[in-house]
Amino acid sequence: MTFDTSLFASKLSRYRAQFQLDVDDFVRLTGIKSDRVCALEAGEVKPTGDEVLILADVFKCDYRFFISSERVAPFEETEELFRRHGNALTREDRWAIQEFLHLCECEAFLLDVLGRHPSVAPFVYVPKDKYFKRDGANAAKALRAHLGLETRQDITDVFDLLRRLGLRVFRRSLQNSEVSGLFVRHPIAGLCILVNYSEDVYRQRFTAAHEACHAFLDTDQGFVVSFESGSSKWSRDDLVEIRANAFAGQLLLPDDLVSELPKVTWTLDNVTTFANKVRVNPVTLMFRLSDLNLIDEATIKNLRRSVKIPIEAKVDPEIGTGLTPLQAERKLRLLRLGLSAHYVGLCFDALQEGHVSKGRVAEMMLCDERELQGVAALFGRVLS
Amino acid sequence: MIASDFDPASFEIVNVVDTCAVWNLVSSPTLYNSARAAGLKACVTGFVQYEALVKPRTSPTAEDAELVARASKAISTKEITVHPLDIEDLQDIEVLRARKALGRGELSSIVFAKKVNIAMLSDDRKATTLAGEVLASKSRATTTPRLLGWLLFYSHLSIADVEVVVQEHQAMCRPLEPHFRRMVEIIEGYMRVARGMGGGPRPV
Repeated sequence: MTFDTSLFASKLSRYRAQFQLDVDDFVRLTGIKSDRVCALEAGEVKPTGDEVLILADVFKCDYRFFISSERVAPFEETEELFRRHGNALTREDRWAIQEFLHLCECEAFLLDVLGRHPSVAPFVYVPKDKYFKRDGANAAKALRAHLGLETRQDITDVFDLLRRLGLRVFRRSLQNSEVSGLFVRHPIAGLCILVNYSEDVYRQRFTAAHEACHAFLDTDQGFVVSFESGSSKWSRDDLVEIRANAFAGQLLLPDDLVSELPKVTWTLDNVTTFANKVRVNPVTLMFRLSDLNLIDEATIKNLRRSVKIPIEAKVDPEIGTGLTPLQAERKLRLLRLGLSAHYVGLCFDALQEGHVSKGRVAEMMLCDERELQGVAALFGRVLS
Repeated sequence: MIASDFDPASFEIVNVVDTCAVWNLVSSPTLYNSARAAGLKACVTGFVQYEALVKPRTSPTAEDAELVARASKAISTKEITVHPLDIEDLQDIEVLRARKALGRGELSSIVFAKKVNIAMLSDDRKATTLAGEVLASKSRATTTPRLLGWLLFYSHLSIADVEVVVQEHQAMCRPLEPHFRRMVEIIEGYMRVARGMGGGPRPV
C-alpha cells in the first residue's frame, strides 16, 4: 500500500481547520512540535506511525483515514456541515459532533461483533407527495404500520424504537441551544441521529422523531441540521423541516390517538395533563389537535404562552433511581456526552465476551481506562 | 491474566510496555527498581508516550499526577526508551484486522514488539491474547504479575517484599493486587517443587 503524502497533508490541514485549531492548540493537543506540524501540512515529510495514531486519537477516527484513500470517516460531511453552519456551531459543538460520530462508528462495530442486527427490517419510504406536510404524515403512518404499531398506540421509548430500525441515535449536549438535532449519513455507521441533550426529554423525543424523518426521507443529503422553531435559522418556508415536523407529530401522536381525546374545552390543566401522559410538550399536542380541527387558533394563542410542564416533571428515565447526588451528577455528565445505557451496555458486553480490550472500551467511552470501574458501577455493571 | 503455564525461565527481559502496564510498572517503586536492577529493559512507542504524558485526562486525580510524574521522569532519564513506528507497520494485515478490538496504545505496542522481535508487557487480557497470536511465541506476551513472578523466582524480590509492592500499587489506585497474590502462590509452588518438597502450582 503506497502512502500519499499530499493527500495526508491536505487531510491534516483541513481537519485542523474544521476544528478551528491554530498551530499552538494543535501542538498542545498532540505533543507534535510546531515546525513538524508545518512540514507535515506542507507535504514535505511523511508522518510516523505514531503521529498517525495520535491524529486518529485526537480527531476520533479510524487511523486508516490518514493512510489510505478509502472513505472510512465522514470527513466531507463534517467539512461541509461546519462550512455551511459555521456561525451556529461553536468549536465545542464541532467537537461534540465529532465525538457523536465516533460513538456511532463504535456502536456499528459493537453491534456487528456482538451479532446484534436490527430487529426490524429497514424502513423505506419514497417521498411522493408535492404537499410536504401531508407526505411527512403519510411517511409516519407507513412507519407505524411497518413497525406493527396499533393506530392508537403511544410510543414509550422512541429512541429504542429508532435503534431497532438500525439508526444510530445519541443524545448529546450542544452549547448552541438553537440546534435541536442533526442527521448525518456516516460512510461506515450509516444513518446517524444526534439529539441535543440540552433540551428537555419531551423535546428530545420529538427531535429524535423529527431527525428520523430526515434519515428516512432525506438520505440523498449527507447531513441535515435542525434548528429550534424560535431560532433565527429556522424558516417557515423550509418544506423539508415542515415535513419532518409533520412526521414527528404523526409518529408520536397518531391521528387516531388524538381523535379519541375527550371533546372538551382545552385549558391549561387538561392540555398539560394529557401532554404529560403521552410525554410530549403541550405545544406539540396543541399543533396536533389543530391539525385535526380539535382546537381553535385563539385557544392555542391563549394557552401557548403560559402552558408548560415543569422541567422536574420531565424526568429522563435513563438517570435511574437509587443513586447518591454525586453519582447522579456523574451519570448525568456521561449521558450528556452521549453515553446511553444502551451504548454502555454494548461496550461492556463486548468486553465481557472478549471482543475488545479495556483500552479500546475506554476509547469507545471517551474516558480513561481507570475510570471504567466507576462508569460500570453507575450503569449497574461489574467490571471483572 | 496469570496462566498456569507461566515459566519464569522464559520471561524475556526486553519489553515494549503499553500505557496501562506503564502505570502498573511505575506504581510500585519497589517493583520498578527491582526490575531495572534485575536487567529489565522497558520501552514504549511514541503513541504510548503521547497517551501517558500528553493526552489530556478527563478527570485527573492526585494519584494520576504522581504516576505521570514517575513515567515522565523514567522517560526523560531514558530508563524507559521511546521508539517510533512507521506507517508501513500500521498497514500490516494482522494489525489492520485487530485495530478495532484494541486501544491504540495496545495496538502500537504489539506492532512494535512484532517489528523488532521483542516481548510485549500488557495487563489486558484481550491485548495479551492477540499479542500471543501475533508474536513469535506466546511467552512474548507478558504481564506485570508475571514480571513480579520472575523477580520472585530469581530472588530479586522476596515474598516479604510483595506486601510492600502491593501497598505501593494500591496507594496509586491500581487494580492488580489479586493477580500479584495469585502469582505469589504460583511461585511458592514452583519453589516447593524446586526444593523437592512436592506440591506444584495450583492450576489457574
